[in-house]
Amino acid sequence: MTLDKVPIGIKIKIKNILDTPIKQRLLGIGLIPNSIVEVVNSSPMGDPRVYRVFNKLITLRNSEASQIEVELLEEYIPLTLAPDGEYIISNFIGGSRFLMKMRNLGLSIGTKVKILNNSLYIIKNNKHISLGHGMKEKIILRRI
Amino acid sequence: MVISVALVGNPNVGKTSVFNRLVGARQYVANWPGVTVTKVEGATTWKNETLHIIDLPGTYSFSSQSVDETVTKNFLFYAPPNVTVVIADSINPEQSFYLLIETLELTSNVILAMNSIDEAKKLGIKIDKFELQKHFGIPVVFTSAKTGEGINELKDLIVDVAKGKYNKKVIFDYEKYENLISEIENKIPDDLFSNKRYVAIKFLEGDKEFNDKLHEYIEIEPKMLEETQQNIPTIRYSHVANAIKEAYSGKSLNIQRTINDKIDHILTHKFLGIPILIFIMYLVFKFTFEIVQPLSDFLDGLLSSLSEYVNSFGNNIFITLISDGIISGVGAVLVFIPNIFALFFALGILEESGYLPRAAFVIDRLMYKMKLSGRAFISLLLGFGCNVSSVMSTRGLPDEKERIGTILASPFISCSARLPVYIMITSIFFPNNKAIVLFSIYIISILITAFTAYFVNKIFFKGEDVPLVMELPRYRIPTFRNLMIYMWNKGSHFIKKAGTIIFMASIVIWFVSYFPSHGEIETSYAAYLGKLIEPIIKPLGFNWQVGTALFFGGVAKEVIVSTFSMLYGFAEQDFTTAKLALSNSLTPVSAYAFLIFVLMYIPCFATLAAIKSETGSWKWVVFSVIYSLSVAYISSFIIVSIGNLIF
Repeated sequence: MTLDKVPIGIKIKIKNILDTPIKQRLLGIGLIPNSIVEVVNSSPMGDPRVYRVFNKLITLRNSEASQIEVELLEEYIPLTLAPDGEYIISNFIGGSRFLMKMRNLGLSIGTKVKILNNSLYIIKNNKHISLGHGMKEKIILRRI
Repeated sequence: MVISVALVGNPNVGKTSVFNRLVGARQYVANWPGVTVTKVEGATTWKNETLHIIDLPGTYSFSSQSVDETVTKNFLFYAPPNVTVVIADSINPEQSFYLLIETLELTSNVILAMNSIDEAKKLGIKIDKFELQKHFGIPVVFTSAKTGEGINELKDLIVDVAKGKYNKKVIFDYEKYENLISEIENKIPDDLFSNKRYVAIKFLEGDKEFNDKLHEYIEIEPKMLEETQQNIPTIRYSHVANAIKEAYSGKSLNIQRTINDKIDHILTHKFLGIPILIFIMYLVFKFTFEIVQPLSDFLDGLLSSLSEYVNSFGNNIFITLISDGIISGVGAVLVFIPNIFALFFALGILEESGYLPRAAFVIDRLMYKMKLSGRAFISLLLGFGCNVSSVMSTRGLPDEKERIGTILASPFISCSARLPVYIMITSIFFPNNKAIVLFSIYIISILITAFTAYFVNKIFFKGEDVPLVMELPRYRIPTFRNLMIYMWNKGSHFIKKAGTIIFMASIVIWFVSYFPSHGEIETSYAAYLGKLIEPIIKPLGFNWQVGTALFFGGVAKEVIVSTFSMLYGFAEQDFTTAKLALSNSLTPVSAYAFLIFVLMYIPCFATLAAIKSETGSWKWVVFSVIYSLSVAYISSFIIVSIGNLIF
């Protein structure tokens, strides 16, 4: 996966930087293998985006971020990118209204969930929850 | 003794503020030879020693090929100063320490200044000075450019270091690559470089200059080079992490973060971001071109009474040279000065507060298509007020390609000085379609600007993208002191550089309009010139009067109106007489072609002078003149040909 594909709010680990003319600039600014980077925000037109690199905010165009290979952190997987398996909800990226909505569906931090064939189930009562892509992006999971 | 001191640091760490603290207003601004990077120098006296301080461009490393980094690296490597001060950010020190390690490898006599220490204290961050000194083997000083804390201590240290008081050297270990580094060191000929370890490390990082010079002595597998290119910076950052772990304690940075993130959330908001940008730019416009306008008008009035006063002494050549030539010529540009200072004051606020990079971030997507980045947007937008301010503001753009592209494209933005010409021509020839004609001109202006930026990048820089690897700094409240120095430095640079060029040009213009017939413009050399170029502009439907007016329009576009009034003998506001006179020499089609020609043909003198002073080279001035004339001619010709077919 490359950095430009990571949804907003997610932290990931840098794996490798592909050979690009700005490779040395990226390394110098702190985008080095094994460092952890957070996707902070996107500009109004979706490109470029801001990333947190060692506590500094760095902007990158998506074409530039696509040269950076990343991997998900075990404890920080957005629902949209989670493969089948069992997880605990570790965080929500959203305001109070979003949290309320999630609570009404039975989802809160610490809830154990299961993903099977791209569908989300609450383990406790095996209840199936269907969510839109936008909502899924805001739910962060940790592998059990 | 004169001690030369270089300031090195990341962008946005307050390097320039420290510099201002060290030297005050005694600064000299110039360009580094051959490039458009600004060089700022200053001097101060401390304990009977003269400190000659150079503020080097802000960089993150010395490895990339950007002009700023090359300038900094070459200066430190080939002309090492007595003392190098690395300015670091106390709050987010990672990138600063990385640059520090690179600097320590490159040169000796280094001091580390931990800046923004007041902010760090407020956030509850504790930094152990001795731990840092131990790790990096150099003296460390805590400074705050805002409060002035530690500045005197820094000056003391500079003097001490220059006298050789500290000369410990720490070697940063590159683990498994150490053998490779010494192998390369041994292969570097003695007469080529003296700091061989540094050259060897940079060679392994893929430094272009060293690789070009050394490839005949050293053979290395491309696979290995690819590996070291990535791993050397990684190891360097692990040294940074060690230093921070030992030296830093206290609270985390979360408080600072949330305030910043909240402001960012609004200013770069999905729907609000662009309207806020437009509103802020509107305020900048209002301030630059409207609020200070009375001052410009006052200057204008002062200059014309001065010119009248000089004229009252009689009517000989010398007096008209002074009054009509120099005073009104230089004065035409002098009246811009309040606007230029106001512009830099406003830009200074945007830059110091940290909004400018956010604006670039918000609008980047649009500019990317023209091979520019969001940072160029503000420069181009200012062009609608005055192209000079456009060109002058490119000083803040960090990329050379982008700077040149923006400078050459900005004269095509239709500035306010062209408006009087548009108004006269449209009132005479298109009284019923004024708005649509004006609108079409502004659209064409934007299109040709975009095309030019793209075209310049394509032919001079092989279509390379301007990257947007940019830091969004913490928000700060600008200090009045820094704003004043910022405004004065940038504004006075224009007066000095542009002043001489404009002075010479005014004399030449006066000469061709005064001789040989002592002020009768119809029979002057300028009119001859108009007649001379008549065959060339004939296909566009222009006669020699139009040619003469265009010639004078080169001084400042609004002069076209007054030249017409002189040539045809009508008062400037009197459209009925003007209509009779002008409609005899232009058809509506060629009048439209004339508007387009006025939009595009040569930038005015003030703009050309600004191009010269910003790029530091006549090459770009010549290009700008030839290119704009060709574009203007071709576009007008197309309009006339098509127009004549239709109407």
